[in-house]
Amino acid sequence: MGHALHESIRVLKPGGRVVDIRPYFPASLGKRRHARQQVYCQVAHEVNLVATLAREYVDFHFADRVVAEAVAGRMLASSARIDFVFRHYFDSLELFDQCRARWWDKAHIPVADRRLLERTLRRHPSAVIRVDTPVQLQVLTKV
Amino acid sequence: MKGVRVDPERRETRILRRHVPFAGARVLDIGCGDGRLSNRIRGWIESIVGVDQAGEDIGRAHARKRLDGIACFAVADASRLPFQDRSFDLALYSWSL
Repeated sequence: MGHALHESIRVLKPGGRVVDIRPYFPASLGKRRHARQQVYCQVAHEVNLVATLAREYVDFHFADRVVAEAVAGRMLASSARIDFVFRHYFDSLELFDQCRARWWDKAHIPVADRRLLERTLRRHPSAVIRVDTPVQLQVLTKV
Repeated sequence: MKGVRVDPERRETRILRRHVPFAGARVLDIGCGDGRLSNRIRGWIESIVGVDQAGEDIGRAHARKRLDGIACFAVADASRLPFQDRSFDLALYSWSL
């Protein structure tokens, strides 16, 4: 939806803000695990990393470019940029798979990670699946 | 969705409150989905308009009774917004740019 940015600038008052919150997978970090979505199993206070999701990052990098161009073109000025981790919790593997398909463009789990996730859930049926997504909030001011 | 919790720690909400001037703002929530974020910021703003291309999600956003009187939602294409120039103080993209 990066192409919609210009349209949102049009409907903003002068000095208005664009607030952009989205998963942040900078191309410069490549395939490093901590820069991708990580899947944990939580049983009581025990938390284990079981998988790292892989997905297509083209759209994210396109949106990064669109924002950078709007700033370079002096349509917007960057006012704040904050990185944080956004968490989703799932009570079952079925719900996790449904949301993975619906929200995250069928983000892929490597076979070995998937087996570890399933094994952990068989051993701990009450475990909760937690997905940590690196997210960036950017506040941009209409110039 | 039952059995799914999205940001229950409300990190996103806390960070938004700290860094975004919401007070009295007229907000456009672009790609609003089921109105999750509109609902979380409802106490800080003047009004909110949510748009999304998915009619099913807009139906769920309409069902949020807490937003009655402060928010309205519509199916719209974000690249051709049905609003006049200079109508909003904030354009909010939550996982949608």
